[in-house]
Amino acid sequence: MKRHLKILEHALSSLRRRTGKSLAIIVVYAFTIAVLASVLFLTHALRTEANLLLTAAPDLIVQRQIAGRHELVPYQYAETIRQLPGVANVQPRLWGYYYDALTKANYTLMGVDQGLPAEWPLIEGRMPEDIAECAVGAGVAAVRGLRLDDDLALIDSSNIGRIFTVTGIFQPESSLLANDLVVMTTEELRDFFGFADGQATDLAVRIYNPREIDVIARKIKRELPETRPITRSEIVRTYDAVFNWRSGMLLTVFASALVAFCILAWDKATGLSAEERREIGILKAIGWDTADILLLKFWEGVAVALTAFLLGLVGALVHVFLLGAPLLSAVIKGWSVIFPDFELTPYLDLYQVCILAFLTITPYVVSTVIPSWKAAVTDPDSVMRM
Amino acid sequence: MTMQPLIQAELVNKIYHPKRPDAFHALHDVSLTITAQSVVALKGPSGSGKTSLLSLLGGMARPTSGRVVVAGREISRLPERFLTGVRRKTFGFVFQQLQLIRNLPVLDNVLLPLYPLDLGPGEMRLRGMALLEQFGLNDKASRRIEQLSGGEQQRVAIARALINDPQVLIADEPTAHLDNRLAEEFLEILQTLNEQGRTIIIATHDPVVFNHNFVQTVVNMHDGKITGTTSR
Amino acid sequence: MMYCRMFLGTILLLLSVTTGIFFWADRQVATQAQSLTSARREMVRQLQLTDLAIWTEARYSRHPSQADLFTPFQEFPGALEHFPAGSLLAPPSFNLNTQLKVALRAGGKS
Repeated sequence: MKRHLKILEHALSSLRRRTGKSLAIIVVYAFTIAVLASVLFLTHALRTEANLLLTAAPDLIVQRQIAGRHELVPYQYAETIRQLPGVANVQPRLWGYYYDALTKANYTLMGVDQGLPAEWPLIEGRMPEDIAECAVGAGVAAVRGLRLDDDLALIDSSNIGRIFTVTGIFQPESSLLANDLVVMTTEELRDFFGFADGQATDLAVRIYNPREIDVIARKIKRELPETRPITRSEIVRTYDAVFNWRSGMLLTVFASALVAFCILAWDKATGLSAEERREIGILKAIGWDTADILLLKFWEGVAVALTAFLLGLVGALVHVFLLGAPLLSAVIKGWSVIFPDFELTPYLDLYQVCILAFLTITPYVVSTVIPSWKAAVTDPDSVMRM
Repeated sequence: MTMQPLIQAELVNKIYHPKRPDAFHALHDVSLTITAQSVVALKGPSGSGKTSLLSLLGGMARPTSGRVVVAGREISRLPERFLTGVRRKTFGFVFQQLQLIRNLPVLDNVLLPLYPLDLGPGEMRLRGMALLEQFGLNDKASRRIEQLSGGEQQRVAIARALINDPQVLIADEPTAHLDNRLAEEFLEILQTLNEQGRTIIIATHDPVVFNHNFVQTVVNMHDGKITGTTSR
Repeated sequence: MMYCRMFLGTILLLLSVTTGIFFWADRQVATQAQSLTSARREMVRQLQLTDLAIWTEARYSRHPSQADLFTPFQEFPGALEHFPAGSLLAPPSFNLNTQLKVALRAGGKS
């Protein structure tokens, strides 16, 4: 232990004697690690948030397709699906897209039945209970300048303007889910879009045993060949894929920076300066053996890599969770005409941090120790001839 | 009184880069015995093989053929780890160019040979300061090497060579870059060390050294062979 | 052993800061789980929402049931679009100078 500490002391003193070079490497390396870690943390937090929220979503969504295009689904389909063993509940959903030419934004208009709680923790005001009433998401309210009891004018399928009184505005905390929503009664929505009676946009299916989802999806497809069942896991995977793709794109760019850095470190270590070779020769001559020299180089590598890793890690944690990742969020989160303003919950994966540590510290240490091997096995006799 | 042989070289040959076109046969069947507490000077021009012989005697290199025995133990075939241990305990080296580490304080330079050992920092520091005091350098312990004069640097080199309390001190052309006064000072220090019981081996072509009265044996070398030995 | 102490001190400091942030994150998650996450999940359950309101222009990530299995310029049928609602650059934020406010006249006509 004492031997390790003393050799570490000499390693640090060597780094101190090359302050400029050592500091430059630490700063650049820490920055590279901070960027990589930021991308990983941001993506993981977004994916975890999406997964957690959607665990309460319906297990299956069943839509109808004619000639490969979406078509409204008759209520009878719900009856057929209800008969299947394992199905707990089938709820027709009535909703649609609304393109607002004024703001160039897409709203999601959703019909809700009576029986929902009038007041919710995440809504200011109340849910609509009557015709000509609506509750809107924070994004819609912001873009149309709406407050409670204001009027929202929308053009229906007959090209007639309709006025809705805003009875509730979803709180900003629910933006991730409700930012673009305009919620009204089912009857109102049916009339607005001109849906025929007995038709729904799709069916929300809940199942007793989550492990049977795929089996039941296949049964639905068999019973109702025109339908397309979409499982919750497929939806969640979509978000995983999008976030992974976006972060993968960034990681690829920055991983090449990391590789370039390791090549630089290798080049630095293989091109040991004459001064460094001389020093190794002297140490060998005065009684250090090869193992001691390699330990010296090992501690030099660890000192730089560990410092850079921890600095980069702290930088990434502060950047993502305390500052909101201003440098990266635009790329990872993307954009939309009305984009939810949401704060990331700091979900951290310790396993990810350990992998990052291994993948950043090990290459640098290896690229410091291995090239020093040749100098370390030099006959000390060469010092006599310097 | 017949002194016990401390170091014996028996028919040693040393060829550098044996498999390359520029192979160099530095030593030819050299045999030499050095007794404990003696002072031996290896005398000869450049290229005579003095440095090569010093290397072999001090365990810094292995002979191509032949044996080197130190204190009754053959070192020429020892694995590196054991050879380093023998070298550390038995020999102290003062190199021709001193080979001190620049930008490092004096005390740290002196203590470098102790780093791989299992000694506490406090104990190391005590040893180092004691030696520096012996050479009148204790007030310069935290100065960097470049801030010292030539003579002071040489004393630091000797202190480093002595930190492990070796039996044998080996010096390679120690007066090559010194003026006569500093050369005399250096030889006085060596004489004192010899009087304390250490064996001294010096490679030199400086007459100030091999003519000095404390040198007991002068070994003449030429073209990698010993051509004669003179004892006082 | 001055450098050793400085180095180990720095590492300990950074490790403490990291651990502190980890603990803070853990507490945040626990607090959120208690209040916000459960309210949001209840909202998802009641409204039967199936996805997040992130990219409202993208066909498959606001409502996957609207996504075609094939579309022009796709790499192959079933492939996910690389750029749901664009990627790197946001559109210039619009500043509505015209606002539509509708007042009801007597008789209920606007």
